[in-house]
Amino acid sequence: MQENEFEKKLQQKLEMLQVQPAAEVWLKVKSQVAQKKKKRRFAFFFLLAFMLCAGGLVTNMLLNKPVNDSSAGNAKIAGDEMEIPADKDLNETKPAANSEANKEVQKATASEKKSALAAAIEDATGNTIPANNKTIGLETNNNKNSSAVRKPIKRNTKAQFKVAAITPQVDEDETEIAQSNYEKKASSQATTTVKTVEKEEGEVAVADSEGIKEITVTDLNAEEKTKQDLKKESEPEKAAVITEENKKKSNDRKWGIGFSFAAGINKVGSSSMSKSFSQEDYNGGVSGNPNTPTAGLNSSSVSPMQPGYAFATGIQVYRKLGNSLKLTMGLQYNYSSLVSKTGKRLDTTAAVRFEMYQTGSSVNYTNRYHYLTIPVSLSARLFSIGNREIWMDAGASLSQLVGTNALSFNSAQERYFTGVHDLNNTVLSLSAALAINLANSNKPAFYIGPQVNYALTSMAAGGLHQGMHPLFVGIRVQKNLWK
Amino acid sequence: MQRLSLNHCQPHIPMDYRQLVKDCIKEKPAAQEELYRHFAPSMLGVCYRYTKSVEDAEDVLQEGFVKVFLHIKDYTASGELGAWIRRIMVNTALNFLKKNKKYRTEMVFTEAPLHPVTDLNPQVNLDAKELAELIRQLPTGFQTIFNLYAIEGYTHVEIGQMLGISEGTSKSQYARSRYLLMEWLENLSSTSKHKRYAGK
Repeated sequence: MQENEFEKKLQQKLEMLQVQPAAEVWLKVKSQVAQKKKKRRFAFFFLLAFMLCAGGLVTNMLLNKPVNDSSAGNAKIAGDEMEIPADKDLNETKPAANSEANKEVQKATASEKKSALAAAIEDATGNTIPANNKTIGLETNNNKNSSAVRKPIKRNTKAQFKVAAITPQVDEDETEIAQSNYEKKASSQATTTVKTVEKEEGEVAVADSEGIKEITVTDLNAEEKTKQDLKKESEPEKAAVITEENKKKSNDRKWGIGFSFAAGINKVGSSSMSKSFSQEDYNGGVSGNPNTPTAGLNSSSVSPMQPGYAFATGIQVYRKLGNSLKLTMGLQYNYSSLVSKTGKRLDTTAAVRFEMYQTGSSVNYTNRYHYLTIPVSLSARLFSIGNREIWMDAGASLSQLVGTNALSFNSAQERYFTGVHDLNNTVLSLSAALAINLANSNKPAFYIGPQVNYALTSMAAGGLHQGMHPLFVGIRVQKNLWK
Repeated sequence: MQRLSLNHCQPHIPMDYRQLVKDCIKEKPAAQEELYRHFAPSMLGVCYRYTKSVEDAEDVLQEGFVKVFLHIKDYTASGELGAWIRRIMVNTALNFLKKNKKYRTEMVFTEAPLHPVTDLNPQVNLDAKELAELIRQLPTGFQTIFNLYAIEGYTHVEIGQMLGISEGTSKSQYARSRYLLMEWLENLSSTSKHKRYAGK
């Protein structure tokens, strides 16, 4: 026999060979395909969620950057006004150029500072000090330091502004007021404001309240003093305005992140239930195959689904669209359940990877559904009661089924099965909620309120869950991470 | 082996697979089941030839169909769907043989001199079922190479690549398996002749 002929004959004969597989094989194939798809989808949703969160955070950081920059700018603008603890070493905040002088300054006692202040006031009023290029030395007990102390220190305090604000014609009462104002500030241990003012023509420098050693007035006539004084007077106001702006900007932060948790009852509409089970007999399974679970579902033997518990928890990113409108998007894990009554559980062989239950009502079987959800909602502030803001949310969500132990029914065997289901993997839902902000106005929002969620997509095209649209009713709490 | 059947018993129904494939890509359960029901018996026949038991063949079939449904979007309509699924089944069967302890030890191919071509000329009067049973009597290595070369039509180069052996090894293994099979067929044919004469 020719080699090819032999092979040809074998091919022809063996192509006819057919072996009918066991019914279990298809169920296993179906179950395995569903599991692998779930894994893929879960991975996809996880990746999507990660990207959303990462994107949200990055966007948030980028959008907040100008705010930080402006605050940095403010610090620059008011670079002459830095707040440091009163007891803090000035060297930490001063340029190296002044470090030597600062060391000298630190040696002065508080009484010396006060006397220096008095001298400064006296000097500023022009009563005893010549107008041009005068350096007033502090009369300290430590004469060794006096020469060093005489070095000009280009630092001013608010107190010095007060000093500078006093015109040469100021009377004694005003001087006293200025002094007392300064002393108040000097005695305050909370914070010390240090200011450095450099002028082309004139220079007024006073060490901070804790370390005043010397005041130098250089080529500054009265008019210029007045102008400068006015300018300096306006600077604290300017700083105050900037601070206000910062606060406002902080309040106007457009992006934010929060967490939410909702718990309640999951039920299916009675109308859809009656519709589902009113039919005498229908093919819930695939193409009416008798091997398919749920094929030929009979109303008499099938338990209706009863309400079960549900909860949802997740992270959300929101964007303010105005004072009373915001858009929220997030990622949630949703758990929901429905209870069905079955008979006893049947022992299955190890080869079969699903559970079987008889028909009956002795066992309450909880069908659990695990979804990953991407909710998108629009929130509008309705009104405020006192300090409490009332918001209303409306939105939609897309859910992906990631796991379930839901029962299917095989009417041929009159048995319930797990492991194989005809549930829709993707569900579109609508949601509405009320949210009352319980947090104080200066704290990140904490909302609580009722929530309703209705699935537009039916749970399954056939089988036990055919035509069911779950309705979730519960309470939701939301906590924002920052204001 | 009550589940074994012959193809000619059922009328061949020409099918338009395009819509079926489209629906399978859309993950419609009905389409998936239809595809499975249509191809499962013949594909189990393929898997059956590579394994030693029906249970193992069903495991290969299950794994193969999972791959089919997960990768059906990769199927190009230019080729025949049956051939595409068959290739998947063959590859799955080979993986199964390599991974399964029962078969792994017999899947070691040793380089051997080419077996001389036999002068035997047996008549292949056996039906598909009997032939398949005969092939399954071969040692796993021979069985695999015989299936790949004689039934699937792969070349020795391709077989070498698939099994990680040289072309020469594939040729020698095939020659030995073919010789064994022809000998068995010859014996069977002579036995049947004897029976026939004895009957007369």
